[in-house]
Amino acid sequence: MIHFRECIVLNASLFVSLIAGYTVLKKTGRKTDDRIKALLLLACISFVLLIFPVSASVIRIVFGTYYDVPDIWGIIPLIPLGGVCVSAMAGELFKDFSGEKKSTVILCSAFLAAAVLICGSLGTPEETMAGRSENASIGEAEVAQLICDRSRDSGSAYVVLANDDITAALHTLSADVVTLYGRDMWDGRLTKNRLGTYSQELRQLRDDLLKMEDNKFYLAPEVCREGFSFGADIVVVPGGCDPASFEAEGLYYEEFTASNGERFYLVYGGIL
Amino acid sequence: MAKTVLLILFLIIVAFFSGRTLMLFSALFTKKKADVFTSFCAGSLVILCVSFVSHLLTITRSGLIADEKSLAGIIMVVLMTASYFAFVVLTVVMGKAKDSVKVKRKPAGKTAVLIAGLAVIAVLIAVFTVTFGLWVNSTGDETLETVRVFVKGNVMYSIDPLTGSSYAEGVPMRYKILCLTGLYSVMSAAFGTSPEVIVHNIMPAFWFISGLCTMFALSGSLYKGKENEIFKRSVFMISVILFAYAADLSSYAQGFSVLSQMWTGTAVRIWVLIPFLLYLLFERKYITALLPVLCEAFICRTQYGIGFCACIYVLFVPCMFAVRRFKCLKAS
Repeated sequence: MIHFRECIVLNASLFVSLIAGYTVLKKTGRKTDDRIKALLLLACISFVLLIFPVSASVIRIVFGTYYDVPDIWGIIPLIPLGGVCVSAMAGELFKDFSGEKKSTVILCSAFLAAAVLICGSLGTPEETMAGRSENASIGEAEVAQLICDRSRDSGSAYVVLANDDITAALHTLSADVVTLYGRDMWDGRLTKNRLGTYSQELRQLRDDLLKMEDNKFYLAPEVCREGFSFGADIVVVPGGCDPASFEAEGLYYEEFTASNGERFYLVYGGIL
Repeated sequence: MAKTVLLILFLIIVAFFSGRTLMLFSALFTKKKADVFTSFCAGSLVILCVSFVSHLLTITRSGLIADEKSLAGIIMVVLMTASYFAFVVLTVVMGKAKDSVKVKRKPAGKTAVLIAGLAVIAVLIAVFTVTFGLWVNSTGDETLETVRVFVKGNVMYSIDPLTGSSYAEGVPMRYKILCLTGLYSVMSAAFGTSPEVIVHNIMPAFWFISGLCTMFALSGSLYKGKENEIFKRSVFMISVILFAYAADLSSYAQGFSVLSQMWTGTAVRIWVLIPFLLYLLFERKYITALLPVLCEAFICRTQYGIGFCACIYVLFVPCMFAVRRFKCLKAS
């Protein structure tokens, strides 16, 4: 549903701009600035280039890569185009309004209101947060900060194994910490699909960490052992894990409770 | 704090001074003076060019941040000195060739003044949002991590910023030559400002204001001296800001990165380079219009080698020709 709405947003902004541009041209005819006409023509040609599958085939043959429409959406300068069309249209409406032709004003105001509603995000702050799961929670950010502070104070770079959000947060806070894996450099997201960057064992380790997020806490001691074998100094596990399992394995651990009540265990592999 | 203020002043002075000189030089050929807003935007592109030159030289030689800092400093001093003399000379030359016809403006009506007031409020709210990082979203971006690693280790592209250990695989040259991370690292190292403040606050505000100046100049190019000028220019500014806010729903929408990731090359391209390119094309400054095309290659991957600015440049010129030709045919 979110993807469908993304498509609506992308197309709606162009559609409204073109409608506004058409309205301007229809009303003013030859009097419209040639530069606005040229910009509209450019947008139409670019749109045609984007939409036709032939263009995609040509680019694939010439450059050897497949392109996705949203990747090269930028050849249509939407924001300046939208600004030009809306302001030109508004200027004509202002003239009409001054001449008491209110029906045109009402119709085009309705267009603008529809555009804003279709674009939608002005009124949906919850939905704008969807998909941004890499942002660490308050508790995760506090754990990351604690580890960074300790690493800085000790003077040596701790090697940490933690979930995706804590891993990402660590590197935004400090360059003093090393993690066993990180977000893929090319697309910036931590992906399971990235073949060849990390070993199969490391990717399995990350999968087990994800399972612990699904309350499979019995995996914690095994994850810690594996993490230490990879060279980790600290492994961060959820607070739902049973501390007795760490004691049974002879692991030293510390409980951390964040300001929002989130609990974590920091399991140490030999450092204080 | 004092050094951060110094950094901000440095950016403003360099951008304005060098941009003004560039636009005055361009005006020698087109006989059309550029205003303050255009000069500021042009200056931000000059900063990009200087940054690219120093970054490229450093990458191909030592890779040390200290070296890039020195190189950038030297180039900046030379540039500012040359700009000062050029500025003085060109101001004298252009001052002699003043506009002979002054456009008489009608006083603005109440509605136009009201809309202009709304535009100012919209601009201030948007600048506030960007400057204080209220909508920052670093999903898919690693500029901050990269800058931290560069500044800490004083060397570029030897440590993977996402793990803290050495790169398992090499970094392609096409990524290494992108100069924004080098520019931010040099600023952080030279002025002692935290990388987070530079990446999430200062530079987004700088680029955003530069883009606003460009948008204002673009509106001036279309509507200056025409009927309902103030009303149209104000509506233009309000609508571009609205488009930026409305694009927040999807990372694919143009404008998403404007409020959320204004420090990135893609955001600078959408908000600064493309509108500035359009402004230059509208003003028929076809040689100067190559500057945004070049700058795009300096700051972001040009998408399969195409380059959005290059595409727009290549498409606009024939479109303009076609429109004028059609107009002549219809008239005859």
